[in-house]
Amino acid sequence: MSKEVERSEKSKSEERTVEREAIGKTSSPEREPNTTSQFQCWLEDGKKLNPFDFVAAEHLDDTRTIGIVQEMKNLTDAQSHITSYVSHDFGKPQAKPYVERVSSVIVQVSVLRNTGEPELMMPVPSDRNVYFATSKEVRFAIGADQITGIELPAGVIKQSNGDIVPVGLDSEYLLGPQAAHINVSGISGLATKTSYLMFILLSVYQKVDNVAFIIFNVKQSDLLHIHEKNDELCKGDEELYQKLGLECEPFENVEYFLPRGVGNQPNSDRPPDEYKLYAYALSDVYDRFDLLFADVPDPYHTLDTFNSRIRDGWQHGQVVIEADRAGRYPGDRVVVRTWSDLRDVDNELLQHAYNLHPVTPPRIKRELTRLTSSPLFVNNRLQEWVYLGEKIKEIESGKIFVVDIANVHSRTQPFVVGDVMRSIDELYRDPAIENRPSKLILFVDELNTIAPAGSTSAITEQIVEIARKGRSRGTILFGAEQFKSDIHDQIVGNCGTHAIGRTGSAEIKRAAYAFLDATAKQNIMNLAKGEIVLSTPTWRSPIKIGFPKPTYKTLKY
Amino acid sequence: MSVFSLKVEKDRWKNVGSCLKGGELILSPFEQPIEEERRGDPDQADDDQNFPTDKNLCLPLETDLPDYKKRISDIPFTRKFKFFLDGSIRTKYVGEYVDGPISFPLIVSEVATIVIEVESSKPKPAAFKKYLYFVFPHKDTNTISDGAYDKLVQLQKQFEKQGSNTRIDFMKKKEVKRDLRSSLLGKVRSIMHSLEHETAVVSLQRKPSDWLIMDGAIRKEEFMKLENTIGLAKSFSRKPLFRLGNKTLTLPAYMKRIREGERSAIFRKETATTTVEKELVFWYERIRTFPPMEPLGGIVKIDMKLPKDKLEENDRKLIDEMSSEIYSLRLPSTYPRQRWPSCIYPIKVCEEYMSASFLSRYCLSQIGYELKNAI
Repeated sequence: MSKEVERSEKSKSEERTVEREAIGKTSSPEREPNTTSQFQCWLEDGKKLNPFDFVAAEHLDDTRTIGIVQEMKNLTDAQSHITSYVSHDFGKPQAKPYVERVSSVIVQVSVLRNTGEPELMMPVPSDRNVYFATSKEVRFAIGADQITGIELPAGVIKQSNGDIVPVGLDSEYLLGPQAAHINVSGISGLATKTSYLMFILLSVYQKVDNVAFIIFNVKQSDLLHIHEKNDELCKGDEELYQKLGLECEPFENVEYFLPRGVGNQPNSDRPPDEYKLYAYALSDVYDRFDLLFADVPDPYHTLDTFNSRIRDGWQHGQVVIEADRAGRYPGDRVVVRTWSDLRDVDNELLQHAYNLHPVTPPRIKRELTRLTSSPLFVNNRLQEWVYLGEKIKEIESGKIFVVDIANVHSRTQPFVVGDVMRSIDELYRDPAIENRPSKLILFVDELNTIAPAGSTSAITEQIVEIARKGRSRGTILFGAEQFKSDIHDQIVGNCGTHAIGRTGSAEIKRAAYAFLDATAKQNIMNLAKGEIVLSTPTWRSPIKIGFPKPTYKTLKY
Repeated sequence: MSVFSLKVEKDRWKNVGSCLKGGELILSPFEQPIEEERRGDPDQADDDQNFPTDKNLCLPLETDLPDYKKRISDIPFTRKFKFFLDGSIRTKYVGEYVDGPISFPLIVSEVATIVIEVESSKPKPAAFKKYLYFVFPHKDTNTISDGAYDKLVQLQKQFEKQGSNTRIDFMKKKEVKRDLRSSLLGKVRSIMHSLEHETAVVSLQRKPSDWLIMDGAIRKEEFMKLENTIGLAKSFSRKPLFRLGNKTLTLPAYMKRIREGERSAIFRKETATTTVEKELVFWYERIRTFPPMEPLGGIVKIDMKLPKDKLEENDRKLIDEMSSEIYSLRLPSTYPRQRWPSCIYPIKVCEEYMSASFLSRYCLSQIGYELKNAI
């Protein structure tokens, strides 16, 4: 070795010693030896560590193995609980032992990556120094150097030693083609699901070109002012945005679509200054009755017959319903152009025209009345009111459409979402449509109401279709719900990235969380407000992250 | 004591083997347990030697105690005991070395001593020594050839000069008590006691007010020179007899009277001949009752230097306070370890520390192969 190299090696080694203070040493006892996937270490007295912290252990050939803290145990030399009981003079809480027992915190670390070239996946030997991982090591451990697409800021890792490390998702795994979609779940209020999804959305908005966004607002006016700046951002939040490489600015190019309410006013809480009302004329959705009747049981497919007859018979803005030519109900014929027309069709005519059982027409009309009685369904849509299906097909890159469904009746909400989904489907299937964005992000909160587990409804199918095919065609689902187990398993299964906020014990035990190990589940149950555990295919272990407050205004109630 | 390197020490073991060239080493089976597991309680055996049958009568220095006992558990005390000393041995019988008509058992022992300091109720190591000893019979035993002996003496000096972790020592004919193998083990114990003393005196910096508790009885004169030191034994001889008024009681008969939190009277041997016997007083104390328990379960024996014929009030006060402090040392317990009712926790920490420093059983067995290959 030349003197220069020797000096450089020496200075590197000194630098490491000066910069880093060991917090403990690895331990590989006979009964719990270190393995290729995990190692253990004891912690020096007074050092503080938490689950999800990143640590680095010295390994062979001057390499380091970086891992994430999974579990910690406080070990004493008491052999059993009985030993502890005896140590207090046979169960006297007031007994004061003369000496404190020897104890140590034992840390279980899940191996993420080794710095060797090629990577050394041998178990970490015993008695090697363990340090807090540096920012560089943390990013290396999560494969920041292996990102093939665009690095999308996903939050920050807050180490217990005060280090803040920005982490990102690979766009190829969030927006396709390698994997796609993100799903956030967790207890309402504590999990900050919407805020996190909007943060990821901001990342995509600022970092990726040729993307458009459709956001469904489901809570009050939560997302009805995303173009306005958040005045409550503190300096710390601004610094975090800076650290993450994001501009601390609200969204631009936002168009709000609010549901038509009574008196042609928006049926929305605290609407933005500029918006468009949306409504549905029969001519808009005559071919989407399957979505309208999605929650109506149809065991004998009679509704299905009705839907297809209307869809197939619609011509020049109308459908003609007439009795059959056999003459059993001769002469009767009605032209239907509006919802009122359809609701007023004679039962017998409908029965004979569509060859239905006598009980079916009253049922269809009853359901139709129930489902279309809100001001959202209009006989004649004014020019200033829009049909969402049409607008969706005009969406351009860089545009954000916010569709407010917060005050829309729960039985109609799935229809609105389903209609948008089908329009997107058509947008990407129709070769005649040019200049469509290469990626379209769909933000759907309370996904469980629209695509519940076990459902076979048309709307669920629509969402499942996006989850299934979106990866290749560029329609990406940003979904959120309280309980992951409540949503359709194909949506969960096709989702590449999962973010989980605080979750209850009963929920976390369900199959939808099978990708998490027992300790990760335990840690998720103890998350604080605003903390998220993120899992993505490129990471070997879920990681806890924090993120700044939204850049846009959220109105208080 | 230098940093332990297995590679370096292996070379030294080979050197030891080279000194024995010309003979043959018949290795003992690998599975054979270490020697200390085969023998009885060495502390009790050592203490038995202090009380031979014709010199085992003990007289009380306190005759005014009702029933020759005193409750000490309620006596307030300020903490005196800051240091705790213990030693430990792990011996492997390597095998039998045969050189023509003569032979001797070859043993290798790890000898460790430690002082644990208790500061703010937390135990931490204050001084530690550990060596690996090859103990050979001296040439005056006629069991080793002069050539081999001379080479080993040279190597012994070399190891000491190097500050090696491996050491060599010899057992003279006068030290042979029973069979050679047991006597070699006795020699190792003697080495351990010397090392204990060295650790307590040389390695330990303590203030005059800091007291030291050493595990076991005070047997050697050099320990008597240690200031502010007591011996605390959980294993002790059952041979002494106690003259209490006009009765003479055996130890179990006397201890039957002693309740938890009480101490016995202070005693000294009637026929004290050595300096140790003349200056040493001792008493017993029950720190634990956990029925069913044999009469001596939970009893500890305390040895203390007190070169006076009569106890003064100050001495009694000191002994009472120390007894009370020893009683409080029963917590935390070392349950379910062997003899836990009589064990104090800092000594357990000493034992754990030394145990963790010992070579593994496999490594210890490897020594035999290194020697054999070198021979």
